[in-house]
This record gives sequence, structure tokens and C-alpha cells, in this order.
Amino acid sequence: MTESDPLQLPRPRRATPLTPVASRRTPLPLAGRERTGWRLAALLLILRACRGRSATLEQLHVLMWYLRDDANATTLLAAWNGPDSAQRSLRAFDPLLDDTLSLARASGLVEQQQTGRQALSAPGGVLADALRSEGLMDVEQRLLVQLGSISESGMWRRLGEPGSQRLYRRLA
Amino acid sequence: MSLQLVEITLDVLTSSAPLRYTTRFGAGLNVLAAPNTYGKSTLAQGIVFALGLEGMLSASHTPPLGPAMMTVADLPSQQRAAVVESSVTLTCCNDSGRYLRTRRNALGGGVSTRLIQTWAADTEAELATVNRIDTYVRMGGSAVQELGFHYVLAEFLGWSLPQVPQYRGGESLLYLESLFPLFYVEQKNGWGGVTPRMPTYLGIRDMLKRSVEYVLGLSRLDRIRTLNALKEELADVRVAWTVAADRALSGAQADNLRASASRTATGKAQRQPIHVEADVEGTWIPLSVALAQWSDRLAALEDSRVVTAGERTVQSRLELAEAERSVRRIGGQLRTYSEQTSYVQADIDALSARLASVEADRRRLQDLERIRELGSDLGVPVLSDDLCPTCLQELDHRHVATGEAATVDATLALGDAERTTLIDMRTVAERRLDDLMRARDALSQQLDFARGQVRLLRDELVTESAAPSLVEVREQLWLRDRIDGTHRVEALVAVVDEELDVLADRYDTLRAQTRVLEDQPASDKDKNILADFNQRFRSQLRRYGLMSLPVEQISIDPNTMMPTDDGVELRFDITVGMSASDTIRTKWAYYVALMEAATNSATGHHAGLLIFDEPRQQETAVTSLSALITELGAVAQQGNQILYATSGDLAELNAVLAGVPHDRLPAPGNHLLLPV
Repeated sequence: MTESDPLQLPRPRRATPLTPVASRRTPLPLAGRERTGWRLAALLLILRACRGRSATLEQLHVLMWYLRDDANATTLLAAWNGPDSAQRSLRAFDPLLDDTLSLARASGLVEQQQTGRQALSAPGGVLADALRSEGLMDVEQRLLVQLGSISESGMWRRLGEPGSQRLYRRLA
Repeated sequence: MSLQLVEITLDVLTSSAPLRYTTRFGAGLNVLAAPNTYGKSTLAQGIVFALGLEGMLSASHTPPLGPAMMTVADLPSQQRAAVVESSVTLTCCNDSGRYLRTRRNALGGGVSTRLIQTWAADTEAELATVNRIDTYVRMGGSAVQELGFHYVLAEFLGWSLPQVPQYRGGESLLYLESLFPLFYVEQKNGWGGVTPRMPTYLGIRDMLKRSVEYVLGLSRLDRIRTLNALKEELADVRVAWTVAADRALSGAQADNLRASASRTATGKAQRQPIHVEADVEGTWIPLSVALAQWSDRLAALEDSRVVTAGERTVQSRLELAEAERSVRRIGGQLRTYSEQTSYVQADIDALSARLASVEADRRRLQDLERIRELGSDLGVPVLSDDLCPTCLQELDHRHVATGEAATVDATLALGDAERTTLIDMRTVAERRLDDLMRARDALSQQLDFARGQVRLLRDELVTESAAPSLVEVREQLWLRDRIDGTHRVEALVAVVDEELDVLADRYDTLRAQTRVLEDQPASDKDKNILADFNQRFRSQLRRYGLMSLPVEQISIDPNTMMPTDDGVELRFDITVGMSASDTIRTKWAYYVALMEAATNSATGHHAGLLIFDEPRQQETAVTSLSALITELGAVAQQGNQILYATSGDLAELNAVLAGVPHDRLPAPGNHLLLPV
């Protein structure tokens, strides 16, 4: 391509700055639900609400997603209390759950059991109890109370299971 | 006014035998020395429970009493028996010599733990004869309703509890549960941390600061109270303004007119008189102009002879064609307005949804602030400091593009700004919707009129030629109706304008008073009280033998009321050299200095009561303990009452108590509760 090519647009030239360029890191706002403290507290409250104070990763993804947003909560509650779970299945993914779990395990608040289930450790239990007794995150606590004591089988019974999973379970 | 404990009785009915502990308290230093598991904490918490104050320990509604009161009690025969029923009865008196007895069931008896039975009299003997009054506690209204126990207790103490700001905006009472942590240190969690452990679930912003200010009787709190009263009055003015403006707006709307009354209160300088407009043939013109036009037309019609239908046949035909065109034109306009109305409504819905999401995030961030406090109390750095437990780097920074997340406060401020913008945008959209609806209603009325005109003209064209013209008669009636309506609205607007002028004056005055109070510097009296508190705190730290840090470096920050080390919040942290035993010394000094400073302050509100449950934590040196006991003895001599419960070495205790006036509470047997 030559300079005379009419299709070639002139290359814009950067203007020389009038003053020396200074750069600095700009703090950006971060929503409450993205912050580590809130996510850890939510995780502990979820595990506390689960039967045996433990849950699978799949359960945790759905329940963290449930607490993240009011619209999510409405969707899940409608499915939870809905009559016909055979016709549909509700699953969700929380992109920050892995990070939250790593931090919770590293801080000794959550333990991974041999089955792969994530369980509240003794200090995690104390903290979760304190969150409850101090009345912190009362909206999230109310949302969890609406689900009752959460068991894995009960949760999937209410939220439905994909056909292949049902088949696999039956064969197993 | 202070609270003095006179007598306590703990009653337990077990499956085997009734048990009881009863004791009278001395007016000064009371010492309960007994081994671990004796039940000292049960006694201290029995006092808290009888006063309905267990909410200062946690939000839980379960009585904070030990197993001997709630589940299984140990008997002297080394056997155990199930607890069937238990209760606490406490008698106390105040400075005026008035007595109050409370009785509260902890378990069984078919009585809710929310009930506190009370007896009040001028002498202790009369308590047996006066009528019982049942009050309630740990329920909404227990601090403000006449039968709420904390209302009764605050009155007994002669305290008028102030309104203070809350985390979630708005204000609430500075509840007794937020004051009593300054008078009682419980054994289990009370000695952790340097500052008193405050119940965060009450949602009071800067609770420690507000509580200490109230206890010391600083005028800052009075200023807050006055500011609150002014704010309340301003809110009343705003409500009255909106009500008056709405009256003018709806009055105009009822007569199909448009009024421009602002629903938001303003001062006299910004105040605009109400302007009313009428829709005349699709154009909004000032009401006075429309009135003149209608009056002229009516006068013209009334002055002329009534035309017959036959005389105006040609004109009626032309008018009919015009009226039919009007019906089509207005119908089209009406459809456009309806479409616009639904678009604006959709905007309002979207703005409301975004606002709800911003408010939810605001709530989460406020929760996060309290989670961090809790993390700090329980020593979980990943929560309190947002630090990675492995690499000690800040965690939230990873989730933003620039690698630096704004602080929670900055994010809250940004969220508040967005919230304000969204509210403003929604207000504008709602106003636009109002305008559209009003215009649509006006058009709808015009359409009805045009349709009526079409029907009337058609009737007139087929009616007898000698009959009077229906169109003209109808126009005269319509004009008269409009003129009457206009006079009604003008009179109403004049009254409302007058009311708004008075309110604008009041608004200006209140705003000026608020500004003056907000700009007022701390008073000399406050400065003196705080200096006294600081001086006592430091001199006690010196006497108790603080070693981790130089005492001169430590002071109480007047903005937070927390002990600080050279301007940095003091906390147990081995890395900066604050040992666990020095944390306990700091805590002793804080509580005792607060009691002394509040007793010395003419406006102070200390209960004159201090309960220390196992204060000798972390094996504090005997010399320090001796200094503490001497200080407590001196404070007790100033008319304060102290309950000191310890399981420490008896010989050591006797040695430090030598020469200090005190009362020893009975501690027979191996356990607090013995068969009756």
C-alpha cells in the first residue's frame, strides 16, 4: 500500500503534552457483594443454614447466586416453592465462589471434607453464630430462613434435576 | 442518678429439690471470691437478666444464665438434677431513696421471659405491700412505651435517653443496652479487646462514642439532641408544605386547571407564588387571561338575543364539520399522549429498579462495616483488615481494573451520590408523568366537549327552525360553570399562598438555627470533662504498671472515645508491643476512669455501678491488682457500688484487700445454688 492510496486514512498524530505526564492509580468503587468480607460472611451463613453445616460446590454456587441479588432471590424462591420441579431445573454459577472458598479455607473458617463437601470449621461456626447473634446481614439471613434447613437431596428435589443427572442417579 | 443493688435472689426448682442463692449487697465495694465453676458469672448475669439488659451481650433472646439456672443443677449430694423452673429477683434503689424490685422468669412457670414483674415503693419494706406492675422487655416499644421495662428503668434512673444517628440513616434511641456495657465487663468475651464490647446489632452509628458522651454528660450530645429536634421540626414544615401544595394542585386539577405549586419546601428567597393556567383550545394560558376571555364571551352572549336554530343552519353546518375535525385531531393527540405516558412509566420503573439495587448495595456495604468490626473483635484479620491470610496483601484490590478498590466509605459516598441522582431523575420523570396525565385529562375533556358539540349540532340541524339554538344555550352554561370554578380556585390558591409564606419563614429560621448549632465549636465544659477523663485514665495506667508503651503516648481520642497510641487506635497486637496483660490494664483504667470522670461531671449519667467478672485475666501482676483494688475502694467511697467477682488465690486477695473497706458476699458450699 502506497502513500497515495486513497483508501489509506492519514495516521493521527498524538499531540505533544504541554505538561509532564503524571500517572497514578485511581481507586475504583467495588460493590458490596464483590467484597471479600461480605462474600466470606455470606458463605459462612449459607454453610450454617445447610444440614450438617456442610454443602457441595454445586449447592454453594446456587446459594451464593441466590444471595447476590434480589432478582435472583425472587427467581429461586419461585422455583423453590413452585409446584412442578420435574419440568425444569434451576442451576446457577457464582464466579467468585472459588476465590471465596480458597480464602475461607486458608483462614481456617471452612474445611474441605474427604467427599469434597465444604464444611464450617469450629472457628467458622463461632463466627457464623456471632454473625447471627449480632443480627448482621439480616436480609440475607431472612432469605436463608425461607429455605429452611437445606439438604442436598431436598434442594435438588425442589429445584429440579437435569434428565441425565436423574438417570445417572437412578443407575447409581 | 445512680442505681444501687440492694438484694438478689436466684430461685431454681429442680426435679429433686428447690435451690436458692440470696444475698444483700453493700453500698461500696462488694467482693465475691469463689473457685471456678462456682457460679459467679451466673450471679453477675442474673443482675443483667433481672434488668432485662442481656441484649447488651448479644441479639439472642436466650437467657444468658448458666446451666444451673437453665438445664442441669449440681446438688450438694454430688448428684445432678434437671432444672424445671428458675427465676431472678433483684431489688435496687436510686439516689432519691426509691426502691424497685424486679422479678423475671428464666425457665418454665408458663411465663414468658419477656415479662418482668415490678414493684416500686419509697421504702424497701413497702415493696411487700404495693401492687405489682407487669412490664415487658426485648420487644418493640420496651424503651418508649409506659409499660416497657426499659422505659420504667430509665425513669427510675432519671435518664432521658437521647436520639442518635443509625448506620442505616435515620435515628434511634440510645438504648440502655448500649450504655450498660460501660458498667459491666463479663468474663467470657468482655475482657477481649481494649475498648468495651458494644452490641453492634442495634445499628447505632459510633455507639461507643455516643454512649461515653452520654455517660460523661457532654454537651455535644445535647447539641445532637437539639439538632434532632430542629430536624424533626424541619421535617414537619416539609410535610405541612407538601400537604398545602397538594391542596392547591388537586383543587386546580379538579377544575381542569394547571397549578405550578412546588411540593418541596424552600426559604422565602426561593419561594415562587402559585401560578395557575387554563387550557384554552389546546394552549395553556394564565388563568386571569382565560377568565377575562370567558367573561367577555359570556357578557356578549347574554347581551344578544337568543338565535333560533333556523337562523344559524349554515353556521351550524360549518361548525359541525369543524367539530368532527376536532374529534379526530384530539383523538390522535390523545393516543400520542398515552404512548408518551407509557414510555415515561417504563422509565420510572427502570429507575426504581436501579434505585432498589443501589440501596441493596448500600445495605451490603453498611453490613460490611459491621462485619469488619466483628472480625476485629473476634480476631479474624481476613474480615477485619481485608488481608490475604497467606500473602498479607489487600484482597479487594484484585477485583478492580486499576488494582485499587475504593474504600467502603468512598464507595458508600459514591453510592449515596448515585442514589441522590436516581431519586432526582425519578422525581423529574414522575413530574413529567404528572404533566402528561394532566394534559391527557385536559385533552380527554376537550374530546368529550367536541363529541358533545357534534351530537348537539347534529340535533340542531334536524330540529324545528323556530326553536332556540341549543349550541348557544349550552355555551352560556359552560362559560358560567368555568367562571365559577375559576373563582373557587383563585380563593383556594390565595389561602395556600399565605400558608406557604408562613412556612417559608419558619423554614428559613430553622435552617439558620441548624447552621449555627452545626458550626459551634466544642464547649469549654466538654473540654474540661474530657481532659479529666484522659488525665485519670493515664494516671491509672501508670499506677497499674503499663509497660508495653510509654503512658504519655496513650490518650483517649475525643472523636472516637477509644484509647489511642500516638493517634493510632490501640489494640492488642503483639507486633506493636501491646501485651495481653497490658490490654487488661488498659481496660481497667478505661472503665474506672470513666466512672470517676462521670461521677465528677455535674451532667454525667453513670449508673454508679461497676461489675467486674474475673478482672484478673492473663495473670496480671499482683502489684497491678493491688493498685486496682485500692482504686476501686477509693471510687466506692465516692458513693459508687462495685461488684468484684474473682476465682483468684484467696490469700493473695486477702492481702490486697487489707485496709480497703469492702463487703464480702457469701459463697458457701461448692456451688452458688444450695437447697432451700
